[in-house]
Parts: sequence; structure tokens; C-alpha cells
Amino acid sequence: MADTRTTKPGIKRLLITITTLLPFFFGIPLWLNSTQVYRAPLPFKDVDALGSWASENTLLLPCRLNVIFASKDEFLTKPELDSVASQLILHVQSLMGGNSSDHETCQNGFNIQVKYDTENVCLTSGQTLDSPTWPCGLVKYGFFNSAQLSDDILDNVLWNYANKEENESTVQDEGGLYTVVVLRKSQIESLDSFSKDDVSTGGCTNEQSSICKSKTGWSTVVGKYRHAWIIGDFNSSTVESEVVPRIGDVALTFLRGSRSASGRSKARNLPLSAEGEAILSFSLLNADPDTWIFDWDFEELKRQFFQPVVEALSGIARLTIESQVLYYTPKAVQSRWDASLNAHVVAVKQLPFFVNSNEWHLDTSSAAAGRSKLLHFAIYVPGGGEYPLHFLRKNDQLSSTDGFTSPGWGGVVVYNPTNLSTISSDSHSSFHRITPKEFESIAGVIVAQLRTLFGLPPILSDDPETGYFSLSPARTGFAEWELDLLLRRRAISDMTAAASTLMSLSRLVQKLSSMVIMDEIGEQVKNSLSAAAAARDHAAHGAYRSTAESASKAASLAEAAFFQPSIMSVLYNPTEHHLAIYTPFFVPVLLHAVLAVIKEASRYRGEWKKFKQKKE
Amino acid sequence: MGSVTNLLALLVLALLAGGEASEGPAHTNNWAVLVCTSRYWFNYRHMANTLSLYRTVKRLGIPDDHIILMLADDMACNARNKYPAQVFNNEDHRLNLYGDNVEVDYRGYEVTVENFLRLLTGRHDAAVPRSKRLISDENSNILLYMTGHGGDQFLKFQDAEDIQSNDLADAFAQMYEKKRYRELLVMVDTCQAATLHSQLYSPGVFAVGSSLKGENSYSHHLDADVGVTVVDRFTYYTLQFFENLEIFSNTTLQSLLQTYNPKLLDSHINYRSDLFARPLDQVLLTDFFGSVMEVEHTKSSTQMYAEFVDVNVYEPGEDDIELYKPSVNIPVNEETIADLKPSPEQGIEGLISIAGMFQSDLNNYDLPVVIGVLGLAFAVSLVSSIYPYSPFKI
Repeated sequence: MADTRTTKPGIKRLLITITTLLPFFFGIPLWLNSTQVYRAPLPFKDVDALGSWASENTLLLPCRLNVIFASKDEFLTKPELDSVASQLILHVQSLMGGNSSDHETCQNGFNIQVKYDTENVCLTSGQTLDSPTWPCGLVKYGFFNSAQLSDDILDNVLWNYANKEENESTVQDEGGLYTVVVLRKSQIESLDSFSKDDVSTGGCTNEQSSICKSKTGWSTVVGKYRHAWIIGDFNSSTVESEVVPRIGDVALTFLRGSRSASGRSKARNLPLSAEGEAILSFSLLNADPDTWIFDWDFEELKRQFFQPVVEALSGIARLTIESQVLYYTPKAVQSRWDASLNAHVVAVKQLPFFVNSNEWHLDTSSAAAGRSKLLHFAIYVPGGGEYPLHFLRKNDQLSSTDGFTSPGWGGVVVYNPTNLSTISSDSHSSFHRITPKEFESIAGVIVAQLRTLFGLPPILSDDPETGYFSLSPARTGFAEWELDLLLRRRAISDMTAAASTLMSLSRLVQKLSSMVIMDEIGEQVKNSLSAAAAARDHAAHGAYRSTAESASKAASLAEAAFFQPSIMSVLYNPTEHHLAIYTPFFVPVLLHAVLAVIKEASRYRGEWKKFKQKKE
Repeated sequence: MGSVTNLLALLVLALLAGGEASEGPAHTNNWAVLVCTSRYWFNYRHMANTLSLYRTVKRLGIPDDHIILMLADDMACNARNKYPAQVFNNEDHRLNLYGDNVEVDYRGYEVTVENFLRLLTGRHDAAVPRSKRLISDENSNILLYMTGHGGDQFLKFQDAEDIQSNDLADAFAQMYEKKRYRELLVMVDTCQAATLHSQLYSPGVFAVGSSLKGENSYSHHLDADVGVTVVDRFTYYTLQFFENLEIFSNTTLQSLLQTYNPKLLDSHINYRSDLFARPLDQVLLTDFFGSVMEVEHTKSSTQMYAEFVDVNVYEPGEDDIELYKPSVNIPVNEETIADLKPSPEQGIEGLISIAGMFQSDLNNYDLPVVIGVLGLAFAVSLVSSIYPYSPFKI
């Protein structure tokens, strides 16, 4: 081998080996790009905007209160009316300002308008309402003749007045407008021919009229629809001290569901799935079928008792109903025999252990797919060994309902069969069917439990001591103003849920870079955002139903986007794993290419040295 | 006078401190996710571990639809099982874990990393039934128990795949973002269990592992009749602790953690409480291992069906919401309390010393690997010495 050379070494071989290697280097970005997970662009800015809006605001719907002083003669002047109106506005504001949890407020508080409606005068004062109110003319409508009748009839008369044909604009489909009619007692009594004869009852003969039951001479009644009325003795000088606080009470009731400012109803989330659905699952539990077996014609019971409730609630929740009958389902606590009460009793403090989750197979629904929400209603029929079974309250009295609820879960009610003689005589003839008549008491408890689960008091309280009454809506169980209240709560919680879910998704996507985001998710996020915008728009116009619908759509779309099954390829995948996975594909060829370049480069260097040596 | 004001001030301070400790409303529901990540006969003990925990949480009141049980479930009917359809966690065979009402939600080959992560994050196909879903909310306390073969930063799933500690941490992060739990207790019984929770970063998580990095978690004893070891030490002593625990017990997490004796376990437990808000001596075990319903007595019923509505006098509640106080002693149905007592009379030490040789956990990769490599080298040298022209000639 020669140590020197005269010509420059050729670079052909070097070039060839390098050109073999080069494509690998050029290919690296391409390869990296091709191994990226797919991530559809998400509107992060819009999501952040919604998030920051939701952190400071809640979706509030407007509430409007129309107070009507109806009288046959004139007892107020226009300045007096103005003063009453401003007093009232101040009073309600102070009531609401004290304890305004976010879930229990309206847009800009209450808008209050005061009307003065007599035979000849029609005056308006206070704030202007942006929706049509009841026109004047109550006196001419013959309303005073019915005021002495039962509360129920009076309530319906007022409803008819509000919805009579000539007031076609006052149709009360949309929530948020509440009317309080204030009457002077003296005018009603003078109309009533019966009352004059009967002095002993203070002029009252009608047991169904709350003014007769009240012990203060005043009666405030909150009706089944969106109006209330106040009857009492007052004149132009006492109107501010007597009537204004009572109107304030009514306003609070319309707002929060109860009069007490402390707010009995803890604004719990509604027991619904993100789509606003729930399945009411009714289970009839025969604890001990050896003594007796109870059965039901559930379709009939459903039609009579539960379908009206479900329909009434249809604006707030899509509820479906199913039922089952179970056998051998003992309770988990032991009852004890109380001789003085002549009953087997379970103390209220033991109720957390009542449900026997091992034996009560309640969650067997086939209709309940996916993320749907189930509310259980267990009707427990005690066996012969523990009959009759009652709950013992802390004050050592038996519970009037024998029922309890568990938030988000459902309720349990004990059914002690009453006509025991007929059952025991034909106990061998298998089933005893619960008749709708027998079921009435149970249904009453169940509806009260449903109200509790939805965050309302079990019943509207009547209080003859202060003269504060309310009407329980027959069959539906929920008054219209209560539905408004639930709708407001639902809209608020849906909007908050939508914003927080979208924010979580956006944070996660930005944090976990290996998360796959399909186009579908981007679509859902966009649709959810636009539904949220629509909800805010509707709320500004005070459209209750469409606000709730949009808010619910926003929430369910956000939920669907977050729970997209396709996101799940987020396995931990750092760079070293990435390289470890792909290098085996390239190393066999790459190794040779690299070695060849090294080899050629060193050979070239050697040749170059030789050439240089020659020159020297 | 001064002393009185001092006393008052102290009292106020004490009240304030008490108020701070019990921040926020308590949880309203409990969930338990129990995962056995092994399969095959020689991992019998992992299934027994999981089923024992299943029985315990069920006994303490978590309903079956709130327990997600992931189990290879190939023991009870295994051809090698001398006791068909029975699974024991103790050689005294007093308790058949595979008795009635065992509801396995993910069985056999369904126990995969993907399904597990889907379960935690809630991202299922629409067709997945409710019983396979963790439908928890922001008021849920979740117990996650995992047992199987693990190593540094991973846990094997059925010898086919593994979950990384980062995967677990990210899954919890997603749960936290979606408010899928209020508090989460993670209990892991594997080798090097502590490494599995080293990456966690989501608030509200408390994690306890049976062994430190580099340590094995050993099985407890061998059942000569069944032919395999039937329970792991960490789980064994956990069960022993729970054996006397009732739903109304106010035993705290702190006292559970103090019972683990490294000498008996032959490993050191490790727990992480830095993400957890409450002090451990105020966390009741029943907050995670049991479930007490929050109950409200229905005070009155609606009278919607009377022809005319009667006066409903509301009874103002001196028994408003009946919140459960654990200090109250309430008799329960004796039958609901299963006897989960591992027999105390057996010679634990003796068994350990004998079984110890066979019990080196299968996931201890080092020993088999070393043996294998040594064996291979020996074989090569043997072959090469016998055949001088063998290709193995070094």
C-alpha cells in the first residue's frame, strides 16, 4: 500500500454514502409529524370567555311582581300609591339583599309594579314591567262575590280572569310574572249575606276559606298558579305597615319556595342526569311474602298518580317511570315493639341503616342506560312479624308519613296494609292487589318526597297563627310558580355545569398533549358554546322555557364532549417511549447507512493526509 | 376576671378550630373500585385479596351497584381448584369468599388497562351498561383497591400490558377536573407499590401502598390443600383490622396506618397525604370502606287527592335532617355482619419461614432473570466444552 498519493482523493464514494443517509434526516420531521396524535382545534378563547363570565355571573332570569289593590271605593290617592310602591320596592330589596345565595335570586331583583284598581279609577305606580300585566277591572269581574268562597275556587276565578279571552296578551305561559291581589276585608263581608247572621264565628261560615281559619284577621294565600292574594283590614294610613311586609313575604315565597328568609330549601343540585333526565323507579318490596303478598296494577296507579306529576315537571326534567315487585326484602335494622304505641317502631336516627342494599335489588333497570339518573322509590310492606311498622320521631311520636328520603338516591315509604281482616282470611289466595284508593296515602308521601328531592319543602306550610296559607295543587303536586323556581335553578346549574365542563376539557386538552381530539368533539364544543350564548340571550329577554332549554342543551353537549370515548388514547407517552417504539423500524437500515458514512469519511481523511504528505 | 376572658378566648379559638377541621359538607355517597390485575392459578391470592375487600366494603354498607369489581375470575372454576366454586383467603376455610351475591362487573379478559382507565374517566361507549360505570359525583368518596404484580412505576394487567404511574395520575387529574370524586383513597398491594402513587398530583387523593421502591410485597401463608398461597400480607393485616370494625365505628385512617408492622409485612408501607386536605386522625375509615345514607325524614305528605284541600299543618322539625353521628351505638342485624376473621391461632412465623422460599413473588424479575442468565451461560460453556467445534465456542 502506498503511503502517498499524487492526486486529490475523489469524493464520489463519500457523496454516495451521504446521500443515502440524508433522506433519513430530511425524513425526521415528516416522521415526527406523522406520529402526532390528531387534535382538532378547539375554540379555547371562547371557552375561556364563557368560563370567566360564569365565574362572575350566574344565568339570572327576571322576576316581575304586579301588586293590585282592588277596591270598590277609592281609599288611596295617587301620591299615597306612589309612596306605597316605593316603600314596597325598598322592603323587597332589603329582604333579598340579606341572604341572596346565587341560586335564589332574579335578574336585578324583583321588578315591582303597583296597580290601583277600583270601579272608576285605574292607577299604576312603581317600576314598569316589560311584559303585559293584568288589566284593571277585577271589581267589575264579580270577583268580590267569590272572595268569600273557598280558596280553591277563588284561585281558579283569578286564573280565569287572567286568561279570559279579551286579555289575549296576558296568557301566562311564560314564567316570571307574579300577581298579588290585595283586598279589604270589610268590602267582602258586606257582600256576604250569610255572614251577617252568624256573629259568633266572626262572620265566617266557610271552612274552606282561609280568612275564616286565620287567627289574625289577615289571610295571605299563595295559589296554585302564579298569583296570590291578601285579605285584611287596612286603610290608607296602615297600608304601609300592614300590607307591605305581607307582600314582601309573598315575593320571597315566589322567589325561594318558602317564606323564611333563612331559606329552608338548600339549593341542592337537581337529581337529574346531565341531559336533564331521570328515571323514577318504583319498587314494591314484600319483606316477608310468607305472611302476605302485595301486588299492584302499576299502569293504573301510574296513570292516576304519577303521570300528572311527570307532565307538570316536563319543562324541568324528562322523567320516565318504571316499576317492579320484589320479594324477601327484609330491612337492615331491627324494629322493636313498643307496647304503648301498639306498633313496631324504628327510631328516626336508625333510618340511615334501613335500606338493605344487599337484599333490595333496586338498580335493575334495563331502561337506564349509560349516564342516566335513577331515583328509587321503595314501598316497603312489612311482614306479619313486624306489623304495623312505624317510624318513631325524636319527640316519641309516630311519624305521620313513615317515609324518608336520601338526597340524590330517592325515598322509602312504609305501607302498612289497613284492611287486614280481608287479607288474613284469604292469605292463601296468593296476591292482594293495592287499590288506587289505598295507594292515595302512599302517593301523597311519594310526591312529597319527590318535592324534597327537587329541593322544595315537602308541602307548602299553612300557618293559621300568622294567617299565611298556600294551596297544594291537586294531582300535579307542583304549583306553577314552583315550577318557575325550579326552572330558574335548573337554568343556573346547567349554565354553571356547561361552563365548568368546557373549562375542564380545555384545561385537560392543553395539559395532556397526547390526548386525541376528534373533529366531533370540536363540533360539540362549538355547539355547546352557541347554546350557552343563546341561553344568555333568552334570559335577557326573560323567556323562561327557551332559556332553560338552551342552557340544558349547552350542558348536555359539554358533557358529551368531555366524555367522548375517542379521547381515551391518552396513555402516558413521553419522548423516550416514542423513540423506543419507532427506532426498531429504522435501525436495521440506518445503522448500515451511518456506518458506511463513518467508514467512508475516515477513508477519505486518510487519503487526504496521504495527498498532503506528498505535497510536503 | 382576666382568667374568665382568657377562658372565653380559648373556647372561641377551640370552636373556630373545630369549624375549620370539618370544612364543607360531608360526602353523600360512596363508591368502591376493586381491581385484581392478575390471572392464572398461581395468582390465586390476588383474587382472594380482592374478594375479601369486596366482602368487607359490602358488609360495611356500600351497595353492590356502587362497587365495581374487576376480576380475572378464573379461580373458582379452575381445573386445579380442589374446592370447585369456592375461594378462600385462609387455610382454615371458614369463609367461602365466592359465596352468594358476588357481582363481578369486569370479568376475565375485560380487565384491561383501557377498560380501567375508561372506568375512572367515565368515557365509555354509549352501550356500556350502568353496572359497569362509575357514576360518581363531586360528593362521592371513592375507594380504589388494586392488587397484582407491579414494579417500579407500573402495575401489570394480566401479564399482557401494564399501567404506568403517570397514566394513573393523569386519570385522577381528569376525574378531578370533572368533579368525579370528593375524596379518593388509593390502596395498592403489589411489589414496589409506593412507586405507583409517586406521580399523583390531583387534590383530594390519599394513597397508601404496601411496599417501598425496591421492596417486595409478600404473600401471607400457603394453603396446602389448595396448593397455593391464599392471601397477601398487607391485605391480610388490613382485613384483620377491619374484622372488628362496624359501620358506626369511629376508627380513623390514622389507626389503620399505625397497625401495619414492617416486621410482619416484611415490607414498609408508604402513604401520601400531601394531596389530602383532612388530617388523618379525623378521617373515619367508614368514610371510604363503608357507606351511611344521608337521610331526611319526610315530615308531611301532600294531600293532592282530597276533594278539598285540608289545612296541612307543617310540623317544624326538631328532627330536621338526620345526619348520622358515628358515636351513636345502634344495634344492627347480626346476620349482616359476615365473619371475615382470619384465624389468629395459626403459627404465622413458622409458615412464613417455610413458605418464604417458595413465595418470592413472581413479579420479582431479578431472581429468575439472574438464574436464567447463569443457567444459559452454564449451558453454553458445557456445550462448548463437549463439542469443540460448536458454534457456541467463545
